[in-house]
Amino acid sequence: MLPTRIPSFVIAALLATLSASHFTTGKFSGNIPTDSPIENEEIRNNTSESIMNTTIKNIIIKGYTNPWIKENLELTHQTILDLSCTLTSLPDLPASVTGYWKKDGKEIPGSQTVIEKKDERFHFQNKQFRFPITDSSHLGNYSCVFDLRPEAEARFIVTVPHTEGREKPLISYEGDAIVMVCKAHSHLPNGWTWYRLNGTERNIINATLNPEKFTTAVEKGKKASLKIMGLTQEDSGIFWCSAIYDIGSSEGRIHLKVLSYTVPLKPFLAIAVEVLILVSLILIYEHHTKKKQTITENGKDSEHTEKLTSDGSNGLRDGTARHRNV
Amino acid sequence: MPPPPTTNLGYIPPDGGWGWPVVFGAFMSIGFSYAFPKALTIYFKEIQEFFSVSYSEIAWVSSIMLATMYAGGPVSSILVNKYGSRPVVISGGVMCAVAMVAASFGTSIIQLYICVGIIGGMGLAFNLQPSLTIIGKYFLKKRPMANGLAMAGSPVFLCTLAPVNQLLFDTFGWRGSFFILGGLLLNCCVAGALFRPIGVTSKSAQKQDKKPIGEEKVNNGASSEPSSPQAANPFSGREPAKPAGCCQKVNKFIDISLFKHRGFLIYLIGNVLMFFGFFAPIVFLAPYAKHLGIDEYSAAFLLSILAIVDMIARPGTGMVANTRWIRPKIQYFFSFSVAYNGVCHLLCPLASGYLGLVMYAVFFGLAFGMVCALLFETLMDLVGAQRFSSAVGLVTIIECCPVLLGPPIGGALVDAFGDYKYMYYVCGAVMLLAGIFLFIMNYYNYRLLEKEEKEREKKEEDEEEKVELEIPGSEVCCESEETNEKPTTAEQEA
Repeated sequence: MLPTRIPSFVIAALLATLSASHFTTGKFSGNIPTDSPIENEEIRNNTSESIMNTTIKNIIIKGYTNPWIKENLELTHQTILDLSCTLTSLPDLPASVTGYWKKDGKEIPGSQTVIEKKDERFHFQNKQFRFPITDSSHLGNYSCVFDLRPEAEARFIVTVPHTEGREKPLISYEGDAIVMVCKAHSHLPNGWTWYRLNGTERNIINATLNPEKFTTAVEKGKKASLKIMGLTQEDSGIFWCSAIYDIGSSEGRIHLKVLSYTVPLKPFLAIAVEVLILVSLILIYEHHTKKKQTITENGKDSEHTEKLTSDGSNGLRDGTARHRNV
Repeated sequence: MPPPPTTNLGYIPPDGGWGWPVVFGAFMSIGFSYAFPKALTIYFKEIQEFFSVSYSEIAWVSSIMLATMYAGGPVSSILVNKYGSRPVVISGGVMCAVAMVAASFGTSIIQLYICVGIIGGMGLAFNLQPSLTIIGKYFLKKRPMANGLAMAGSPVFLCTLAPVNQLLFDTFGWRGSFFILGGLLLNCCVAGALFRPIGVTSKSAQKQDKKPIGEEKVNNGASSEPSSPQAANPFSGREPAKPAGCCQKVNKFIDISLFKHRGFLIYLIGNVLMFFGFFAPIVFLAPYAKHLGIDEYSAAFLLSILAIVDMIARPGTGMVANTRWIRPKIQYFFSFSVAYNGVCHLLCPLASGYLGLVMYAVFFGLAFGMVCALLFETLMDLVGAQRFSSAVGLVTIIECCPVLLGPPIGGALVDAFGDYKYMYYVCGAVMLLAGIFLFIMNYYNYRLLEKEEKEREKKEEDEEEKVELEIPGSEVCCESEETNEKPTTAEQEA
């Protein structure tokens, strides 16, 4: 039943302006109810007094696409998500269709709604049903599903901005210092932490406790650097930098390798030996050919002098001959 | 018809034989000299983070290295004049290696400036000048070809050093890479070992004296390099008139009388003008492509295309310049290639889209290769192989200025107008002007050379007649003059 065409789709995003956030956490300490429409209403009522941003996002589903349309939403502050999906361009659309929301693949109970066809499209938006994003448990994949045969789905991937570490390993030497830099993707995090994993345990790197070894710095909020001095082999391994936002944190990974000085020494010595060998070979060859040359030259020298004297006598004869004729 | 390029070396260059290993050695030396400062830029990002400096501060390392390489020209020339090419190149290689190894232990950016920039740059200068000089000593008839092949070292090494540097960096980090690069630079010593000394030794000088005077006369006429004011009169002897006073002392080390040499001055002025617009287009090719909306990898690929075309163009130009139609008028060929460069740049803004830029890169690569291949060949052609080592030293130190100022001025133009095309127009105009200047001045120079040659030939004929009248019956042989005299006088009496 799937049409064979795979149309290109345009995602129309209507972003509400995210003004400067004046969000007070005071009202949200303690119990944050789980996602359910009724309880969402309660939250909405509670927060109507606080100034909390609303993020409005819409996806237009034009027919069946493979894979389903995804949109990335990077959020830094607590907000209420007002998500909607518009279904168009499908043949044989019935007059009404049921739709529901899924979070991380599991249907959200009580989110089923009946949508009427309007202007050949189904607009699935439930004003009573909005998603608060207040902590990291609220992050994830939110999908709107249209209950047709087969189903039509669009997905909103809600995350904190990702943090860039370093893909290739960072190489340094024993006794040397190294600077690791992590970059936050386009937003300013509240803070940064550096840690290493010991199994599943996090060993947080505390620069104030160990100032001779570690120094941290943050540049314009977006770049965090960790300087490690006096490297040893134990420092080899994976370091994590964590950018902390109101609603969660995102990690960047840096792999550090600490080598000893003998490692580059071996290729260096190999090349130096090769150079010495080549230079000696060339000089020996030259010495050898020079010897040959001088032997043959000495032989030629004696021949040469004989020739010259004979030439001279020839010239002499010609000269006298000419003058006699004159 | 101007006189064919001659040599006042006092011997006939082999034009082959051991010359080809020498060309290979020069290929390596020149490759390292030109490609190394550019290939170092791969390490800059990490070193910048390590020392917490800005990008312009780290870029100084390359600039200082390049500047020292050019400014060290005269020092190199003096040493080559005194000791020959081989010891200078070997010591240059050792210097570079020591510089890089020292830099790998560096703890501040200033140390890098000194080690890599100054000492490394000096070492590269000790590699560059002697390589160019020794080609002139080994080749005459095939010299343009040899020059073209040797200069091809630059793009070849750039293409290989870039991925090698990346590999070294991924495996050893910047410190280890500098250490190993020091080892790689020791290979310059291998190139130096190939530079077997050649020239007039005391033995062969004695042999020369035995040759008949006629041959010497021809040599004399040739050795008085046409526009040299010193050896004008062949009968004043082979030795040029010695300039008096302090100049004489300096001349022992480096030949500054070149500044009176007409051809040298033309070359110098034309080249200084040309270098202002020479390097900026390459530096800004990738940023210009990105500005037009082309992605990073395709923009980098443009430079690879340029390098590959350059690699082929240099020996190709050498071959073309060696043909009997072009060799005598090689200065015109050089001015043509400079002007062609200018035309390429003027047309560059018309290139729209990636395909247009690819075509521009191809034509520019060809033009760049042509100019580089002929750059030193024309200087050799003008001043002769004997004075070349001093000439190249003086030329490089004076060219140091436009070479270094060119890209920043280009950058300032880009910033001022917000568009790259004005920079291309300016560079194109500058090079076109330089090409036309060289063309006109060389035309004038060739005419004067012809005139001087005719005058000299006339003088020689007059002198010959004079000699014949004075000593009747004596033949050409100077040595046999003594033996001839007796019988002729005897004849006269008879």
